Amino acid sequence: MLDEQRLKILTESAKYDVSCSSSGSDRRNTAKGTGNAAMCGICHSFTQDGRCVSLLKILLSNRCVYDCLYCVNRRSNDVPRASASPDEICRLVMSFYRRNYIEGLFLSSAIEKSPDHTMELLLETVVRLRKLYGFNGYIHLKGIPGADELMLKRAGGYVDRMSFNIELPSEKSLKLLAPQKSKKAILTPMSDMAAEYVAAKAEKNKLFLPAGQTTQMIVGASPEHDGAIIRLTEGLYKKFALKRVYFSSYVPTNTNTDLLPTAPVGLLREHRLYQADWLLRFYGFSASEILSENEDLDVTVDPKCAWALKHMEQFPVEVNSAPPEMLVRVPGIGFITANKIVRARKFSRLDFNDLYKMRVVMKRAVHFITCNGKFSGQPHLQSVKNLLVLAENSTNAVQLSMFSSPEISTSVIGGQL
Amino acid sequence: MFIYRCDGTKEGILCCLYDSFTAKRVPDAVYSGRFQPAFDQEVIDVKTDEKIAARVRSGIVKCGGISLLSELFLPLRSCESLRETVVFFVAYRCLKERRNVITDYTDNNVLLHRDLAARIKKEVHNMHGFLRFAECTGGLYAHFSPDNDVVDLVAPHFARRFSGEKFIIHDTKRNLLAVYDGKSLKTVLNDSPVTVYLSTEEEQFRKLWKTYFDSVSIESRKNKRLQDNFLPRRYRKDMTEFQ
Repeated sequence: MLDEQRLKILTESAKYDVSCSSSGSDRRNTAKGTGNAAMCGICHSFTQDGRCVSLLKILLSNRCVYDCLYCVNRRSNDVPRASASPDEICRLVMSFYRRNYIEGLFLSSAIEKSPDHTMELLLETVVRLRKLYGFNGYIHLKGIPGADELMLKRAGGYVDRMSFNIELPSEKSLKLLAPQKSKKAILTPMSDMAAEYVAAKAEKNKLFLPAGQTTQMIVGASPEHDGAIIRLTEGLYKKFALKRVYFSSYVPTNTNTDLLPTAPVGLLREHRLYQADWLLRFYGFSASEILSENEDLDVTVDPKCAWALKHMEQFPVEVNSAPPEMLVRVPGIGFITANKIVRARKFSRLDFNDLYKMRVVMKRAVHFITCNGKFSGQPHLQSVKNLLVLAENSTNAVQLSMFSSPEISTSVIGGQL
Repeated sequence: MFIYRCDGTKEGILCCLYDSFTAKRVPDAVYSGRFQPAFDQEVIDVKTDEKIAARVRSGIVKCGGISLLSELFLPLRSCESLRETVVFFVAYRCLKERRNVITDYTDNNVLLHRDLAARIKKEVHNMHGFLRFAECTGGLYAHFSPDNDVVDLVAPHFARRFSGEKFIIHDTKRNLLAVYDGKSLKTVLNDSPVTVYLSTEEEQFRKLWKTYFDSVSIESRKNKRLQDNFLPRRYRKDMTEFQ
């Protein structure tokens, strides 16, 4: 049985992996089995950093032979090391799952001895869980780049989702910061799995990675611009049929190197990248529409606002007649509200008051729409921009208290807050 | 100026609708249980009659099919006191206009209806995740205290998931038990105290879970407000990791 101390070590080594979704798979329970997957995914708890706990995120081992500069588990780091046996992991998953603590397993590992050896242990764990323990819940397995192709493919038949981390947004940065990894070793298995995934989808009753593949890259540890990152992301979606690309804002875990920034990168950049990612995946935007290659995303307004401000010639749109794909391009109107508008305007013509009630974010939308031909936003681009920046900042407002810091108090008196 | 008082069931609401259409009068509100009428409001008691209810029910089905019926009555599970009123007026408009108006979001009652329904659906979804089972002698046991009456909506998910296992889900606010014997689910009202005996391994796994929960958080990104938004504090008293 896995003891508390080893569980702690193996969890702390795994927690910087951001992916924790349990959605996208419709695996059913079997007659004598335990568990099923929920298409929408389920969050089981939320930790103090506000992240959800959905899967048991754990490493099989953190004894790594690699020496990637940004990683806590790099060989030259002096951290406590531990490993677990496949059966220990299985038992823990089953007991946690029955108590409804978790939605499934997120299994990864440091490279112990060699990629093949590591992959073999990972494969043994998932096969054991499915076959011996009859587990039908969600499994996300981290693929080990450089491991034998057959082993990787076999694993794909047992798990719901697999991911190979591309780690850094360019090959140059990868060479510099993760010398033992190469772009080719990461992308080859990714594309092999993608081909298998597409083929399996065409067949009925064949389960091969029902929740597809994802990947992750660290943002802020290397000098790439947001434009390059978004382009890379779009390429990954198109070429490898990925379900998601995760970005993780660089958190300094190692201090003994001058190749990496010493301060953590703010979360705002990561947030903006995710907003742009959403525009790619759901809102029908292309990377070239969002920004150019050598640009960074605007920090003052979100990417959709930034796009709209650059394309004022397409606005204002008439809410009573605009097609849904144009409605979702209006800042302040998202998918849910666009859907509400489309359904409600079948009953009667909508006015501004109706939009307020439907929770359209009017402080943004008002500059980009007309209701029955009426426009009530600002006519000048600069004033629109200023108001949008204000609207963005107002969400960060803080309630003053007796104990607020002097800086905040003076900024209120000065009218800056 | 009057108020309908009914038993708060679907049939009760349907009978209020029948009275409203036959007597050609529209109430200010519809209530069940305890409430405070205004100074000038008369209270009309509506008796629930299965035959009348069935007639009105088929009238609603003609407006929008069976799916409208289940959608319409979902907010009756809400903890908000205006639930009956909202359901009544949305149904009233459907019947009056002989069409499905449940997506007319310019109507305040429809918007309220949508909000109440959304809160219930959200809570059911949340509880699929936040419920914590304890391994006891004889099966699994979970207690929770949801805002809305959702125990029988939450339980089927676990029946699919733990097929062949026995479990009990206990709504401590309403004294309701969802009991699964490995084959079928039923909901029973239970006023007597429930005693369970934990299995020998239970304590050990709780400890392990707490260890996991504490170590998976990233210290340098602490954000308790975000945590509070996603996981309301009132739910935490039933969750293992916050004990």
